[in-house]
Amino acid sequence: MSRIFALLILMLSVGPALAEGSRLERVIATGEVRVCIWPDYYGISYRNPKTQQLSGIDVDMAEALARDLGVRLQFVDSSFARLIDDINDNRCDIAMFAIGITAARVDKLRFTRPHLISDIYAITSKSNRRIKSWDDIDKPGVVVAVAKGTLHEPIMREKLRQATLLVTATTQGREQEVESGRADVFMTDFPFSRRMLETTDWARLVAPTSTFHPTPYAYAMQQGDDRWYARIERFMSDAKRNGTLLAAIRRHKLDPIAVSD
Amino acid sequence: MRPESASSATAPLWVGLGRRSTFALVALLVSFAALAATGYTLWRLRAEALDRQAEMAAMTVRAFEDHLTQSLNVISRTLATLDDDELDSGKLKQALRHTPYLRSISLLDAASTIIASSEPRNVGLRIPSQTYMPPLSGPAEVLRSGMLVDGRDFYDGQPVSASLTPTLSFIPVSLDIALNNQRWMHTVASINADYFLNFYSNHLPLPGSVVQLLRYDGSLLLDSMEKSSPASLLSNSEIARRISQSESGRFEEKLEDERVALTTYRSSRLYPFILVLRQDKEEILASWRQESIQTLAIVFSTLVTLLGLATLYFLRFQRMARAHEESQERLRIAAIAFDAQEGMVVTGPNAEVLQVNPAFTQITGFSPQDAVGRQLDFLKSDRHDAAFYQRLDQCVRENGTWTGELFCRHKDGSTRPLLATITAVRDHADAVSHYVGTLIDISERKAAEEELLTLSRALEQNPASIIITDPSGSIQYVNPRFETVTGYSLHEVIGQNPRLLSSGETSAADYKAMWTTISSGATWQGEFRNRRKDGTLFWEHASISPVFNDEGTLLHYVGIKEDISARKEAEQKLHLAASVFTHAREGILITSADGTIIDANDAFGRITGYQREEVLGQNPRILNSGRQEKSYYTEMWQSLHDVGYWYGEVWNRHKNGELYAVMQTISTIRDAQGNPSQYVALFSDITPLKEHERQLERIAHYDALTLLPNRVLLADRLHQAMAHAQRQNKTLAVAYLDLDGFKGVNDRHGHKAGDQLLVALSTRMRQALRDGDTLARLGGDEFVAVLLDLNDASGSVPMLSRLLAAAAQPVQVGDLVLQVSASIGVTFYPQSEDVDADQLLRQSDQAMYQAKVAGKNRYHVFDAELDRSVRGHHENQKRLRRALLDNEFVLHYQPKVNMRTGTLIGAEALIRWQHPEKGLLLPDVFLPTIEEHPLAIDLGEWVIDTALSQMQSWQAAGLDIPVSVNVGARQLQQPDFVERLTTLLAAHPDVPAHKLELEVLETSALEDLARASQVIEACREIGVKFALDDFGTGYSSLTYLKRLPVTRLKIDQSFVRGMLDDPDDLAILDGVIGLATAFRRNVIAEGVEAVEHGEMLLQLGCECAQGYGIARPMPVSEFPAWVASWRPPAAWQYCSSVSREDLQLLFVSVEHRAWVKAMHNFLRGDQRDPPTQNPHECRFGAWLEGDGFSRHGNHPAFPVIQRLHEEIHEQGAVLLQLYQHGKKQEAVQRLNEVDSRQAMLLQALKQLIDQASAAPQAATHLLA
Repeated sequence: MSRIFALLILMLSVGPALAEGSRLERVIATGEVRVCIWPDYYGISYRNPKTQQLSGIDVDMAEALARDLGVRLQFVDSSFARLIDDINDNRCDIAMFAIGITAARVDKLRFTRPHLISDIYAITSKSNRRIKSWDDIDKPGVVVAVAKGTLHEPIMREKLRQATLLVTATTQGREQEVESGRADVFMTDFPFSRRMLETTDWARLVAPTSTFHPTPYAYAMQQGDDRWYARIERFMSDAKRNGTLLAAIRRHKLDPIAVSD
Repeated sequence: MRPESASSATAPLWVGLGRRSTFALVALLVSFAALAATGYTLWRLRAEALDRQAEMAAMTVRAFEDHLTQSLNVISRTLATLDDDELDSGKLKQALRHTPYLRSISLLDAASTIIASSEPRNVGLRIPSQTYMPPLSGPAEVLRSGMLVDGRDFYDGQPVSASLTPTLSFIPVSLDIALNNQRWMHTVASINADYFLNFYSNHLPLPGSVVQLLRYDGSLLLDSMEKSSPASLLSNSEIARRISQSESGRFEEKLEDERVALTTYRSSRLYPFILVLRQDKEEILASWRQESIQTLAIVFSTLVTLLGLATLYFLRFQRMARAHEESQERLRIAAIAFDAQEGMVVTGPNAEVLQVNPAFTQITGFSPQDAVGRQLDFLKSDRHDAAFYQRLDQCVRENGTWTGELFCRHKDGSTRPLLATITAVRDHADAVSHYVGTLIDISERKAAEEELLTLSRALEQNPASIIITDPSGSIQYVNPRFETVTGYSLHEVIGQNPRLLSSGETSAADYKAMWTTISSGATWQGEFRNRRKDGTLFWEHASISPVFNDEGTLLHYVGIKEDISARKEAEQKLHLAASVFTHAREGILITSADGTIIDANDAFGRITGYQREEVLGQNPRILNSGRQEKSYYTEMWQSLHDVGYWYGEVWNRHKNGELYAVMQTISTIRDAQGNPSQYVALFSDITPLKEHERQLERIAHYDALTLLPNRVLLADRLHQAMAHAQRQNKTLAVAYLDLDGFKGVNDRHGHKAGDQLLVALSTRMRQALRDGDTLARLGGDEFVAVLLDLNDASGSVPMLSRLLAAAAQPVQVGDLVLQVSASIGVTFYPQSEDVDADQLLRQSDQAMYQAKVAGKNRYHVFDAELDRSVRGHHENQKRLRRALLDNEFVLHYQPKVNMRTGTLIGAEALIRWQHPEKGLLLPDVFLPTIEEHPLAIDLGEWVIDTALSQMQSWQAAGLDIPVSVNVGARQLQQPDFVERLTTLLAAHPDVPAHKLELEVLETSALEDLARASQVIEACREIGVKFALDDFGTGYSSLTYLKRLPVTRLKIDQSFVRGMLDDPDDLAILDGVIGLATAFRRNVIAEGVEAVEHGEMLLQLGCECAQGYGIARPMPVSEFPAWVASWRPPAAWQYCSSVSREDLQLLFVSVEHRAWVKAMHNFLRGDQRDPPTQNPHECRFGAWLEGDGFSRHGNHPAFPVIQRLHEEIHEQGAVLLQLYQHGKKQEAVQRLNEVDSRQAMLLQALKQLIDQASAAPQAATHLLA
């Protein structure tokens, strides 16, 4: 009796996928996997404006995934602001650009098991005399910039008590606000903060004095398609096991935020 | 002194000084130049560094100015492109995209109020742009700058206060833009001041540099130094002053903190701003300074190294220069030397003569013309062989030089001795370039040397000691003979006065005479007694004379001395010999080879009775006593002839006819050919010694008081008699005789009277016997008679009766008439059983005891049959039980004494059975039959009870006598033994328990050791002590002894009896006594039968004893009398224990006895092998030659002992020969010869022991 019930549950659960056909079959059938990336994400999925070449851990991982699936790889530009729509509107099969697992996103998307975890960091200008340390941020008169759609927006909105939050439409916007002095700091994560330090001469990193709000990063896909999800998870576990993931992490100097199993 | 030599002496000094100062000057100059060059270079480098930095600063300021101007350009263009019609906040924001350093752009109306702005909050604010620079009177397209504003934008802008550093600030700028329609648009923008600061901070050329942005009027807008507040808005008057003259420039200024800054400024080429760069001069020069230090360090170290190297080089140079000067000097000296008195010749390496000097010609006769160009061989003479010249060559080759005497040929053909030195001169390649030879003619010196050598040899080898002093007498020379004779070496006596030889035996007057003689210039001759270095004295004959030089001055004294000690000694020896001859105690007789007396000394006269004059010319035969046989003399002459001497004892006859014994040594004196020339006889009178020997023999074998044979001789006689009886098939009787009532005589009349009585009775009793019979005194009042040749037992009766009668006859002693009687015990030999002499004595003793018991003054014949039957027949217990009931048992008491002090220490209770038919029976007859029977226990208790009663009654009589009682094993093992004993003690309350001693057999104690020790312990608690009986027979180990808490050990009598002739028994005794001492137990010896036993025990350190030699067990009735009368033998009083070292004496005496006993045993057939016959191999002999000799060799008795020992061995050897030739009987009979010698030897040995035991009175007593 119990066996029959279990079978029933199983049939029910795989039912819709079978009915619609898994994304996996489609990917195999079309011979192409579409991967959403945010091309400004330094170290993750960054398109060098001078060469237009993509690089980053998730670019490497996307290529590895395509190889694993035996299909062509198609990158689709996206951003955190557009992420949910791009996935759910089926503009890509999977989003691979270190997507922070937030409550809002979990509601709409299905995440792989996280492979990176980053806290929030602030960037200010070197000559800013107001912000000396993390504790100077949430003070009256301080303007904190965040980019719309990033995980930082809701977090900072929730966390800031005294400082003013400034939400910019673009990520470049938040940098301009700080550089011009309209805002004192902008909030970002570890990979992006590294880009700022490496590519500008005015940026200064303000790290949280203690753990502030670590966010696990993973890949996101549509909800429901268990076979696709299982296939992606298998790829991930293989990558973890055979060192592909670790090699990619090391190549892009992300060891400090790697999730240690 | 020649002038040039003076200058040459000072020149090197000057040259050296000159060189040194020149070098120092040069070094100083070089150092100065190097330092100057370095200083100049550094100075140049400093200027260059400053220039370079100035240029760099100018470039930096120019770059900053460019950046500023370009940025403002972009702002101005951005503002210029604005179109006021369509402007709203969004559009203005768009415009900000390309100017990241702009916070906001705003449009103003004519009233300077913001009407539109990228920052909505700015709208409506009024901007007071009149204060902006440059000032304008009307609208113009000129970018103008306001003062720095504190705040993010106009909306929150505040003028910068002088006291507060703004954290957020901006620079407001305005621009009027002419629009197409002749209208003007007014714009303002807020510039992010940080933007420029970031840029400047990132591009500052040196740390510590400061960049300032000034408005053209000199107001400070930005400062890269966070601390210096831009809010101060200091008007930099200096900059302002300078800018009016030049748009850019640089100058040095002193800052407020006293630092010197290099200030570079430049104004924007388009806009009203000035950039100022201030660099700390110290910072600018920091790298230069570091570089300078490094450079200086390198230059300095290089300079030092160079100077060091130069100094080294200079020193080397100076050395070389000096060497050169020296070699020049040497050359000059060599040139002078070449004209010296020594002949010189220089040759090439092949010995070809190159040069000779005049002296060479003079010495050798060869002129330079003769010599130069020739091989030097022309000087070779035939005085040296080729090998000599080869050696010479080799020496020169190897050592570079040769010096020696060389005989060279003179031109005139003669050969002359030269002292030559040949030196090889080597060139740089170390090859010989020349040989230089120097020659000195030493012909005269040689001759003088020869002469001196001869004189010196004469001195050195002179057989006389030669001593040379200076006029003051201090020694300048002594010859080897002197050293040999005196023992002083030359260097020891040099400078000393010859007085150091003085022995002090030469008188001052003699010395004075000597000095007087030699001071007057004469020679003194005389003899000295001098002392050698080793202290010995010697005689010297000396001849001392002064030595003068030609002027007659005294130079030396020469002493020639001869060691005449030997001569002196010989004289003294002769003198001594004469004196010895005259005064010797030994007689000395000298005969010629034919035996004619040629001299005799005084002692000869004394011993022989003949005066010297009487015997001169006589033959020594006149002394013959006739006691020696002819063969005796033949042997003597043979020995004299063969070995050159003879010694031995000779009986001679005195002039008065008496015989005397001499020990005589005759030596042959041979002439040079070895033929006898004289005979010397030395002899001493040994008659007293012979007498002494006889006396010793008497002491050893005869009782000193009665002159009857003693125990020793008795034993011997008895042995012989037994052998005789066996042979002749006859019977012999042994009668043991004890005087009755003798002690009473002693007590009443004293020992003297007692002794006289003994002497008288002895004589009578002796007379009562036949000639062949023996009467011996054992000691005290005990005698033994051995009656020989009886046909049967009854044959003895007449003699026994006569003995009784003789003993009972009254004796007149002084005024007293004394009368005693005798009890005699008799036994016979042979018996049906085999018995020995000891048994016979014991049987007769036992029988005597019966006679005493039977009423005295009688004889009792030992009943061998009865004895056997009593022994053999097992009396049943019934009979014994009845005996106990019938009171047939009695206790006899045997005293225990301290032999040394003579005090009674107790008595042992011994059970006897007064058998109604068989008489008194000893316990060994009846006790064994009930040993395992309960009756034994009853009997044991009876004994204890009776003894206690006896003690009680003695106590009542005033006698305090501790009593010991034997306890059997069975009795001891009774479970209630202690209770019963307690009961018995309780029955005799007057007797203290500690007066009772229980004797337990060692063997029975060991049967159940645990029980025994338990009982002993329990008894000890109630006060009763225990003694271990028959100690030594039970294999006691230390463990047992430790566990048995007995207070006394009783040494078994077997050891005591055997100790005199058995070293093992003696050793056991010694051990037991030692053991008892170690365990703090008392010790008592049983079985003391003779005085010797007591002596030995005392010497071993055991003072307590019991035994027949002290007293037999006696009935109670006799005990008090014995106590009152007994005195220990005198010998015991003087005996004390000998030290462990002298214990050896006791052992050797026993060893000797053992040897004699072994002889006895062997000859009698009781032993398979005879003892060793070699007097050096027997233990006694070994002792005599070893330890004995070294310890006692000086004792007068020692030579006697040696002689007696040898004689005993000789006699032993004779007896053995007899034995081997079948004359066994004769050998046994002649054993008494050995015995008598042995007795003598033991007597003599005793003298040693007595001396050792530190009892001087005893020693004198025995020697007497």
